[in-house]
Amino acid sequence: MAHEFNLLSQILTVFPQNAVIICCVLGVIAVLMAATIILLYLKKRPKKEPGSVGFFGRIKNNVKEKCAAVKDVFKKKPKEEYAYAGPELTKGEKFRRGLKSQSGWLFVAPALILMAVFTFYPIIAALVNSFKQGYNSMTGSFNGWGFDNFVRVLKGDTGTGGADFVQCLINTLVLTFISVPLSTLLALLISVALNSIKRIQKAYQTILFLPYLTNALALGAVFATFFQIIGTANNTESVGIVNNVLGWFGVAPVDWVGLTSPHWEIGRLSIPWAKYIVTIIYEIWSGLPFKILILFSAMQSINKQYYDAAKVDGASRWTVLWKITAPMIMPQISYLLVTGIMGGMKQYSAVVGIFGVTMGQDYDMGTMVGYLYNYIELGQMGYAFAGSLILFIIIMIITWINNKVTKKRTTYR
Amino acid sequence: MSFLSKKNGSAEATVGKWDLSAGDEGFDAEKAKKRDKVKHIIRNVFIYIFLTACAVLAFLPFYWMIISSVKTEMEFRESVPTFFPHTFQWKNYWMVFHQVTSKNSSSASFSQILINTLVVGILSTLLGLVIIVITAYAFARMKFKGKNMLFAIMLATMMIPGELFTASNYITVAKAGMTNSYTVLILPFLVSVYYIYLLRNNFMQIPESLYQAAKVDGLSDMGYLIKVMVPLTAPTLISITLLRFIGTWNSYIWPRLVNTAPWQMITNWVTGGFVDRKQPDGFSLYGGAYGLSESLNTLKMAAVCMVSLPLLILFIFCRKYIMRGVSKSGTKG
Amino acid sequence: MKISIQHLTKIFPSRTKGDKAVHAVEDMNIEIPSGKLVGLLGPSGCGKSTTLFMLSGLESPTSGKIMFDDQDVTTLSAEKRGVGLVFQNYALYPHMTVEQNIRFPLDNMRIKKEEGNARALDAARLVQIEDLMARKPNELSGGQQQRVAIARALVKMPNVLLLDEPLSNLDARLRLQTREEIKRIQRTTGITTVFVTHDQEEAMSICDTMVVMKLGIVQQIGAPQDIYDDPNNLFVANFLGTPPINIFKGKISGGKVYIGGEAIGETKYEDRDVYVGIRPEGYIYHEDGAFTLQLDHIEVMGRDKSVVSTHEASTKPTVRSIIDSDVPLPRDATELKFNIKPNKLFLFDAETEERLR
Repeated sequence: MAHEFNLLSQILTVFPQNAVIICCVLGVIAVLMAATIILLYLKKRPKKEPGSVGFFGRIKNNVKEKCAAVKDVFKKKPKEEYAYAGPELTKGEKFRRGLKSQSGWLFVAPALILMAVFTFYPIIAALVNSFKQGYNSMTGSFNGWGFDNFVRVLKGDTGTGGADFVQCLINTLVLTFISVPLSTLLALLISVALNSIKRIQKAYQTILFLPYLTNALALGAVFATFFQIIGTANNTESVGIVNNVLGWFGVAPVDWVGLTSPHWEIGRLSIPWAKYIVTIIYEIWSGLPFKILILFSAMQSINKQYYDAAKVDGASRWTVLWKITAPMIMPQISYLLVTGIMGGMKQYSAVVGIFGVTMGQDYDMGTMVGYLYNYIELGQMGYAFAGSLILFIIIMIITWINNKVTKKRTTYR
Repeated sequence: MSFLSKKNGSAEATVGKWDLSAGDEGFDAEKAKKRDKVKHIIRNVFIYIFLTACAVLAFLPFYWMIISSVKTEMEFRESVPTFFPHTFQWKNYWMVFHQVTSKNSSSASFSQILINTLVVGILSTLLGLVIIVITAYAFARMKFKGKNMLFAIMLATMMIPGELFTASNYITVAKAGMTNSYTVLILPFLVSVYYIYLLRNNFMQIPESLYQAAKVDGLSDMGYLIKVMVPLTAPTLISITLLRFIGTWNSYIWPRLVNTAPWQMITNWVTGGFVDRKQPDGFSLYGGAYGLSESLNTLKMAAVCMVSLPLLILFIFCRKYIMRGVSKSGTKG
Repeated sequence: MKISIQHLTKIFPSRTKGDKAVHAVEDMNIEIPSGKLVGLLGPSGCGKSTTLFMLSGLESPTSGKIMFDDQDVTTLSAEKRGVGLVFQNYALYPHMTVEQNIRFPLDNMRIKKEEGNARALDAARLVQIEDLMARKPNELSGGQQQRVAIARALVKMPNVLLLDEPLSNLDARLRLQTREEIKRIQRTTGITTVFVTHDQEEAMSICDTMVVMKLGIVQQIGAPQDIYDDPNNLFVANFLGTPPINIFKGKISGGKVYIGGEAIGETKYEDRDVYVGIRPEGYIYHEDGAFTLQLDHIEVMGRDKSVVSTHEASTKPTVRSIIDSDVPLPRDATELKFNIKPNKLFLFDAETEERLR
């Protein structure tokens, strides 16, 4: 049984909580400093060594010198700050200066240590652990290496009653690739409208920006009440605002978010289209403010002279919009599409806000990130790791495609 | 000979045939002006209608949230929703304060949750800011071996979705016995590579000569950082502080994973169930008329209000800094 | 196309309360004959650019009329006036190639593709950029961008070509070259051209007619040499010429012009306090000259000498006079005596600063 991966966490368990952190910080600072210094001074030595002390002999000599020098640093403080760095400097003096010049490491050490524990290590851990079959995170036990986790994740054969990865993937893709272009287009229209008015522009801008600063879960719950069939009061069923409005057009009430929500079934998957519509509307609403802000400020920063020139040249409003405004804000549009798609691939809170922690009925509105959290909570870390790697690969592919596409475009800023 | 060239000997140029009379019926300046004006008004009416519709739709959820929070449960469940409450039941807010949400059998009061959120929010924002500032400073101004390499590695981690770390970090903190504490909510998110990057660029725009001047004046690196660079980049720092605090306020998944209810954050509390039942202090809204399983929507809306309204107020007062922070992260990518 | 501007006035309302409204242009009257190159000259803020934008139709006047030939175009919008406008920063669309930039006005006029291509090429040839058609504006030098902007303005065969500070974004050498280029293009096409500048040398060198403005009011209109030789007032005299005119406080007494105690010339005007303006080239060195200057130093410039001296009645710290280099000057004199050429001496009323005529 392999335990080596949990070495760090095992060390951590020995100590009480606060001591762990302090020791961790101090320890890693020390190790880092020492490593840097030794590496640095071994490298800086002239290549030709008098006599042959050998590699280890050299390190030994070095360490001796350095120990003396470190003592030096703590003993006396340098009096002249701007001393001439001539050949008469002792080795100790030289080293002290070297140490001082490397003090940048001290500044970055806290960030580095935290990243080592919470960023770098998890990357490796995710890579390694996703290939362990039947991995138990608490004991660290597993039965052999292989692609078993990945196969089971993709097959939906996890045997835990958790979310289905393919369902989650399809949900994520559908939601993202419908809501992002729609909201970008709408943001473009609103920005153009906003840009062409003079009065109370600021007021509109502020109101339209309000949804940016919201708690996705809280507002998700509000959106749910728009669509929800809430229950009964005075023996009549309350069907929510949206169903009421649809009722004016003679549409029968639809259970948008509840248990009887309409959906199509394809094999083991389900396409809950009504829930898709609700989620997409919510995502457009919450995604608009940022997009409007970016596009509107991009339009505002276009030099007014271009519009004057176009006017003299007899360009119509549409010509100006499609031949001048749109190309000039193309970098921002493509930026919004890319970040929108990236964000869409990682969506989770919107779905939880509307449909609750179970992400709909039997996770039928699950997203890829929701899948990870689902399996972390179920304690099935192997599947969580495998799922997160697949998510990572998908995001990398999208990044790669995006780079290919946007490289062709030039920016005009 | 080019079309643009003057005809030989003739003083008159070959200029375009521009019909300055602007129409067959002869040029009527007043008429043209009127026509343009009418066109202009019609266009503006459409634009304002469109924008107003968008603004109303953008604001509707907030409005709905607020009025729902003061309706009675009975009114909330009426078949045709009311857009203005018949009766204002401010008691809902009182109830929410006393409501103990239940999750995993352990429970927490609203005041406990609020304290959690504020402590974690303030601590993680301040500590995070210190780390961001000194790291950004080191990368912007100091010289040390491997600086560029290290910075490149840190930037590279921005490419990796944060969700990849969650599982491992969960195991790490669980093994270290750090669950159910504030530390576990603060520590993993102290370093933000993006803000370090942002601030470093800001620092690098400060001219080198200022640093040299400070050195001549006998200021240490730390002194220069605190006395010169921090004040000069104050707007960015304020933006970062606000956005970080908002981030903590909205954090949901990590607290849910690592902590049980008494240690969770405000968003976790909102997603909990709000049901009418006898509270420990004997206070009850409907005396259990709706049963234990039925959730009270109005209470939930009141809770939602209490989570969302502070953000709205913060936005109204710090609009400038928040917008700048957001648009900066927008254009810098 | 003949342009006549009648009682043209532009008032910008005050932005904040308590501010005065800005009178950018006041009661301007100009007749611009067809096919001429006219320069609007004045210091910044004198309303010359506002005038240009009113001619283009981008700004509408507060009152007054603009006529193109016999047509009143005052309320006509920019695209219907058939003007070509070259902006100070060129305003080339950065995402379009040179060719697309030049073709842009033609596309808006719905001109057929073949004809459009031919005309765009013609315009490019005229300004000698036909080799750069496929490039983007940011791949061009400042001078080349300028040419593209001119080509874009010319391609629609405008009635009037308007240039806003066409040379201000170019470096000194390119400026000389480009101003000849503009003159050549204007001569070739014969299009009535109005351009705006704050550089008097530039205006003098290429204009057929020059309009000198100050604070929204036209000071003088005429051929450059006429204005130089016969300025209307102190401002115009001061504004034109390098090195600038020397101004002294003086007075007229008994038909003679006095600076300090010296009578330097004769006049027919009655006694009063005046400003006396003497062009640098108006000094003739003479041992028994009427006008004494305290010598500071002499700058040798090859063709001629520039004598820098002081005088207590001068309104500027130094007096500069240009003397032919053949004229021998005493080596270590502390003062020099000059006679003044009568046609280089102007008298301005001390109160109104108007020229005595």
